[in-house]
Amino acid sequence: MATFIGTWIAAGLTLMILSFLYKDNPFFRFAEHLYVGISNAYVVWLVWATIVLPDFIGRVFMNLEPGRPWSPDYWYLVPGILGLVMLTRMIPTIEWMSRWALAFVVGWGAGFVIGPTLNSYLLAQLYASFPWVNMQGYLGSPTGEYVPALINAILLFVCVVTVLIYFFFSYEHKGVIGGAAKIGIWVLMVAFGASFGSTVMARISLFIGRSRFLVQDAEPAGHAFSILLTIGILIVIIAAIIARRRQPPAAEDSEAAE
Amino acid sequence: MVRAWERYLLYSLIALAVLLPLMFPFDVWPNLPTKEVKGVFDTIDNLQPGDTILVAVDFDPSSEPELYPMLLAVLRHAFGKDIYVIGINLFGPAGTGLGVKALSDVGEETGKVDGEDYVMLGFKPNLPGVISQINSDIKEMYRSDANGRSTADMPILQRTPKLQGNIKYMVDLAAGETVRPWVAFGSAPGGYPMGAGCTAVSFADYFSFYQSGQINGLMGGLKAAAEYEELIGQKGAASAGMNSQSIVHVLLVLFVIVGNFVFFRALLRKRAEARGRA
Repeated sequence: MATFIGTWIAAGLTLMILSFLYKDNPFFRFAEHLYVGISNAYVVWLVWATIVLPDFIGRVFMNLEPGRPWSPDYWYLVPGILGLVMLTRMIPTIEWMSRWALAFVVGWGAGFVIGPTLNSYLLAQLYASFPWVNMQGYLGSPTGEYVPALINAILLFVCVVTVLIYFFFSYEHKGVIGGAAKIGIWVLMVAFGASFGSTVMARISLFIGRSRFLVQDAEPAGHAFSILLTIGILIVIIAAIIARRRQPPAAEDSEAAE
Repeated sequence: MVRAWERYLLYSLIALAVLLPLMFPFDVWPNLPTKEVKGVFDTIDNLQPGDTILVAVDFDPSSEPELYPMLLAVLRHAFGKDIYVIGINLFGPAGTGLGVKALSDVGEETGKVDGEDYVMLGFKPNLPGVISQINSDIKEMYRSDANGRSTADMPILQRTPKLQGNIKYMVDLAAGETVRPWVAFGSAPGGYPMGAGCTAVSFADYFSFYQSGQINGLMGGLKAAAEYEELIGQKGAASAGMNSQSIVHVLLVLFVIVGNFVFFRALLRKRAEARGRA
């Protein structure tokens, strides 16, 4: 019964959120505020139960596993205190104390992250953009595999170089540099197109996920709800077509040209 | 300028294109596995029973429709081959629950025991720091699992006290930027191979890691999840969703063509009128 009620509450909230497609309305705002509130409460509880309690209180102040040998590890007071001083940002007179924690985080981050980041994000990626590196796996392959791989490797190299040239602003984009920069722009446009296509796919996937919940999870037996939803959508389509017919054709063309 | 009725019409057509295939499923378009998805599948498929893999559930409910089916498919594959699974979440606290649910659901399906065959470690902040620590000692960082149970005597962590040298493969199912730190601080220094699954939005960003060989497989979005389901022979949510996805794509292409046709027709008519007045 609890699952049944929970599922229907979720289905109702999903429809409330989707109602924003019509326009902003109280149902949408109610669902939105509820989502933000519940998410925050859940995250606060989870952080307390899985991080603060076991990793700070459980290491310094009390044994959370009765029956096991335990001794306090006072080193954990250092990050604990640094974490607490972050909260001083809420008190203007002692706000400056929060900079200690930030200084620690920034200093640790810079020192710890620079080496592996350079190796993995820059050097490894740079190395992999050279055609002869890409072709190593294809040595001795049949021509049908070798030739497309070779074209791919050369294309990749040209794309990397031309995009880098496009972002090189210390020299005026004229002549050969200008031509290469133009190719670079085209490469960027193709990349943005690919990203946009993927983004559309991702957004539709999210809608599919919610729709699957409404159609399959919210009513495991029968399709009464889905059929009602479909009828509702058909009514919207018919209303939209009627609204279009009532619109004068001249206005339609001028608006389209805008 | 987009008029209200146009918006309602487009939304309604998209809604129908999504809902109808879900209500009346059909099987027309096969989800042929790509080389990138097979990279992850083949690596797991070639592992031996008793090997351990790490699955990072680095997503939260906002990416669940794309990545959860992927997670289920990977777990079904691994458990089907008697491979132990360590789950972890370093993306955000809200992802832990999804990992716990997926592991317990698939574990129940395949008769696996929590704590022996699998464990969900849960969320810790500071991704690079946590990865570096668990490369050398998991239990020091995770004294309890996501369900609050002590990890001290947990059989799976007795066998796998650290990632380095113990796990055979790592798959990061990422909604955000977690693949990069896993490559830089986990896979590269830890010496274990890595694959990734991501949302379709991030697929183009992460492809360079696949092309450079830093990850040996990459699954992007719902389509890749459907391909993985095809590979393990268990069609699920992703395969069901791909019918809708394919129809919506066709519809969107039509929208783009019709939109451009209407725009240029109006533009040409306007120019002709301007020439006529001149």
